[in-house]
Amino acid sequence: MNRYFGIYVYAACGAFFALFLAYPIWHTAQEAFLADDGKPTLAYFAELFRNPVYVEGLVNSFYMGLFTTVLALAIALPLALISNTWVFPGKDLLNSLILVPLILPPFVGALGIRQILGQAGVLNGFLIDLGVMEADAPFDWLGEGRLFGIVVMNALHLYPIAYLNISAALANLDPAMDEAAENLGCHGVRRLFRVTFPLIMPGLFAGATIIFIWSFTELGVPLVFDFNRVTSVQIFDGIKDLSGNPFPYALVVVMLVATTLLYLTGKWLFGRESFAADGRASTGRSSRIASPVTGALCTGVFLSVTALAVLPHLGVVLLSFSSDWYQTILPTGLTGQHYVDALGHPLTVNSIANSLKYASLATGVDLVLGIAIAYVVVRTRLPGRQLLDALAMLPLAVPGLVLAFGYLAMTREGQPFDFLILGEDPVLILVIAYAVRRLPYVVRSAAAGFQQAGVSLEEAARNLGAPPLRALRRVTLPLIAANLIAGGLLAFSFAMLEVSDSLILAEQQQHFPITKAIYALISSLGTGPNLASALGVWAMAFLGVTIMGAGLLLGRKLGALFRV
Amino acid sequence: MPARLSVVILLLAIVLIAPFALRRDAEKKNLAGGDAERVVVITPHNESIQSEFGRAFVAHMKREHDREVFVDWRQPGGTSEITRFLKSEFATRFETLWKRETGLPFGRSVREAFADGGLDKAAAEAIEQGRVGDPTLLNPEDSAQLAAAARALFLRSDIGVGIDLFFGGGAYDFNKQAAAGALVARDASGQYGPGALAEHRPDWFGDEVMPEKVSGEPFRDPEFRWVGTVLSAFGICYNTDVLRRLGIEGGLETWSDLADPRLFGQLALADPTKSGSTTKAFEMLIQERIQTLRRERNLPEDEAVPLGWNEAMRLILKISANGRYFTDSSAKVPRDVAFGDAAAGMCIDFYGRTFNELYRQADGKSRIQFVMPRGGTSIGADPIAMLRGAPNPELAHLFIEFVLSQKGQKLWNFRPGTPGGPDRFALRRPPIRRDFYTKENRSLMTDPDVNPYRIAEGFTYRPEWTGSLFSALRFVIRASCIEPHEEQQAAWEALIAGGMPDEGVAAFEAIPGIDYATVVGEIAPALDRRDKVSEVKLARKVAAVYRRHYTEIAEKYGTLR
Repeated sequence: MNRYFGIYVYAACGAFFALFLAYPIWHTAQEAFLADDGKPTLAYFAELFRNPVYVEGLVNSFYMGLFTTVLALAIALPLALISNTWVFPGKDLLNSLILVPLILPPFVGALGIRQILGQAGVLNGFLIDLGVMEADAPFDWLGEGRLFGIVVMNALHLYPIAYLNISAALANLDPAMDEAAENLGCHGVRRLFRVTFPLIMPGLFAGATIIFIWSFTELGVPLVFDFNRVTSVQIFDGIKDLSGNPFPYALVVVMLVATTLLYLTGKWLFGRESFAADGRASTGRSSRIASPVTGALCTGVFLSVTALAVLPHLGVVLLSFSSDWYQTILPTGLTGQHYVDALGHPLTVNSIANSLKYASLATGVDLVLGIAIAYVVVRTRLPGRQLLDALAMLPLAVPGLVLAFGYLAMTREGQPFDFLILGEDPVLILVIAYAVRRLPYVVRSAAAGFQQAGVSLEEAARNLGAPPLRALRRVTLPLIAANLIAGGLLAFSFAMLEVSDSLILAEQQQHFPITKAIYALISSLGTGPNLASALGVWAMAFLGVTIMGAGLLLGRKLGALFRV
Repeated sequence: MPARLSVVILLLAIVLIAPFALRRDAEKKNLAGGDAERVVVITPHNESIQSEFGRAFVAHMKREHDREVFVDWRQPGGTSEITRFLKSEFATRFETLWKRETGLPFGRSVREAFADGGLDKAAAEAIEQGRVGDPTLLNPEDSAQLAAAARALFLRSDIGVGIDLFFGGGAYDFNKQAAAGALVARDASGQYGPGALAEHRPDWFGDEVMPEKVSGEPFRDPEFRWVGTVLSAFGICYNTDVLRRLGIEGGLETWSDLADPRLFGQLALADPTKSGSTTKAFEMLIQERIQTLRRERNLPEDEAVPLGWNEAMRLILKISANGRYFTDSSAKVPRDVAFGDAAAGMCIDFYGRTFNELYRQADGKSRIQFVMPRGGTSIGADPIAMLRGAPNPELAHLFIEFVLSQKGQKLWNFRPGTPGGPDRFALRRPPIRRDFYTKENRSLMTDPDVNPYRIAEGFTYRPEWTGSLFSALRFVIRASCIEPHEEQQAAWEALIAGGMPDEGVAAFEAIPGIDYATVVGEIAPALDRRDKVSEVKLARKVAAVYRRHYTEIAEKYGTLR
């Protein structure tokens, strides 16, 4: 290992975080540390911990994160194991649909959920038709769902992240290990716990941490359930409060510190031991062809989980075609006019082009940075690298508005970063903003790859005279390509759906990304939500086809994508 | 494999081509406006309003002035985001100016001071003593002196944020921006702006067309830093199906109808802590109580005000207990009510009317109804203003003139397609000009029966009763209803389940710490001191009292959820 190479990369990543994560957050949140006379104070923090409502918010957030992670893993792990073990009918298609639950466009996603779970929604309509619910006493799923409902909704939304990471880890697993275990008499569940799980721990950890931090700080779903005793909603309410009190920024800081501590604890507990295989599997893995009964069972499990998870999406799709939809299972009137209006809207074409530009550039930045950070964290022993790792996860936890207003302030005329606005074009700062916010996906995937791939092949290349960059490029990166593609796809998809930075930083209509176009459309009088849904469906279709296409191009099918 | 790949490529092609194929020919215009002159407007107005006013203004300028213009709409979110946006923008621009002019650091006191309307007198003195033009006379250690100089420098400057106009919001938000100094009556040349318009068109600002105040509500700034363009009011929207299901016949008519325990968990409420116009709606509820007491019990003012406040607080507690949520999104309430997710809600008039129309069936019935609560509605102005340092003040001036002209006013309420009316969207909003409500115009209006001036007559807002308690009202609602909302709902649910025992309801209606005497004597003065840490402390204390209070009721009269 070339120590200096590591140090350069380390310094560059550190500088990037200092400038584009710490500085904008500090710019917005510093008020929480200052008293009215400008002297430093911790009074806001003291108040926060004295107030049971905010303490309860933090505790609820922790539960929301913990239970979501457990449930998401409970869904994803069996699916990944099934898919890894058997070939069953429809496997290719179901595997390529696995990411779909993640792609829920902003603003209209909530409407989709409400169409399904609302008091006059699909679920109640169905139950009333079945005769198990009285028409004059519909159950209020959203009002009564509370933390339980939120956790279920979160888990159904986020399990694909765990599935993706676990699948990548399973694909990297050397079948020789399993065979060795079998030969030594370690079968079934025992083998799973003693051999498979420890070996796929990096992938499991990668997926679980993203899901935990995501759901610990999730804002949209608690808002749909009108549940405001979680920290994310309390921050959102506080920031929008007219009194301009800096108190919510104290909450932001506490949330960030809590995220960092929880992440480091999690890493200490679950992420330490890594049984890196030396290099790659020596033999190919082949899945068994399932018997008809097993096959039907596998297909059934996949199908029912996916169907449940895409109900909100279905809500959005039907909303985009409906003229009215109320108290019935399906819309009472169907129309294609919303598509004509939404896709024909003057904002639409431009915003699609912009989003493609911003999201692909940001994904490029993320891949470079993500590989660099993962390299420092996994391959070097530099002090403080764990902190760098935790920092890279923080963007998941920072409230969007806080970062967005930080970026806005630092790029104004006369400010140190005003060169990032080209004339009036915010493309550079938007790409940086998107890249920072979506970096965790790539970092986690790359780090899992580095851990599993082991270091020996890279060392061999170095011994044969390859400089560090070349060894990385020619040996390690091809080995972890599956992880990078998985992380990159997530980063790209979520960058296409980014909200806060888009609303605040894309000021002129010519620079609007698609999410801001959706926001503009939803406010149209009358059919606004339907138009916005139509554009949202377009975004889902585009991302869906892209992901499927990527799977086909890069690895024949998405399932095999992880077996480069 | 090639077959699959071609399917994917085909699908991708369809997805990508669809928006191009559906793009309307007439609108293949350049979103940047090309070489046309540009007026930049920041607005919380919805897309329908933007598109109608944009189109009409461009056509008007072409026809009347033979000029190619382009309206560059900016929408960073709702009013709350716009407020933050302007604050952040002005602060960074002023920082540059301050450092250049004085060479002094841009400390916290300066950052707070430059936009502080409370310093205007000190700023005038600073100018008199010549401390603004000459930084050598400033003592960097004297923060009061620095603050006054900063405010003076800002008020004298023409720094802008690249935006010409602020269009849409409530009088409260515009008053705040005007006090901060972000809005100006005239540009640096003195030729353009609402102030200049008032000089050219004095007839537009008389009592016959646009009075300064109507029923106690400001329709424009006395100094012309903002002027109203259209009117709005909060009312109640409800879903007839859901009300019937809950056993409530005959609809809802007054704010107190919302306290009906049958509405438990079914009310969609707007959040007064996040919107000035929502706070106003709650203030109206208090004023309505006071007026009723004066009318019915013939009470003198000094008795009716405290009693009315307290009665209104009890009502607000019960309404809040029925509430599902407090939202900052004004569109969410009518949507949830229309979809049957809430039985009723507090709703802005034009949303109520639009949704009523949207779900009207062939037989003329609509499941969503909108009412202006009897005796409890105040009509507020929705303004427009020119921002300090507007890059194109002349065009901004013409835009304001257009919006206030009969031509612009027609867009707000004429039916789409009528001569002079909007192109595609019925905006359903009552224009501000009193002389608009003629028989001739009424025949072309979407809401010919709505005359806000007549509605306003039924109710006079008396600022001296509750105006000074505006911030305190927000504070007490947050502390007694929003923060302990879960406990409040549990208590209310327990009482409902127990058949509403008198003693329990009385306990629920106790209003410790938010009664009139305490609010006037303790809370309002504490908020005036602007000590933010003690504000947070006070809020925690009041909220703690209510949490305990509700928990006790829930435990006594039922089982806590």
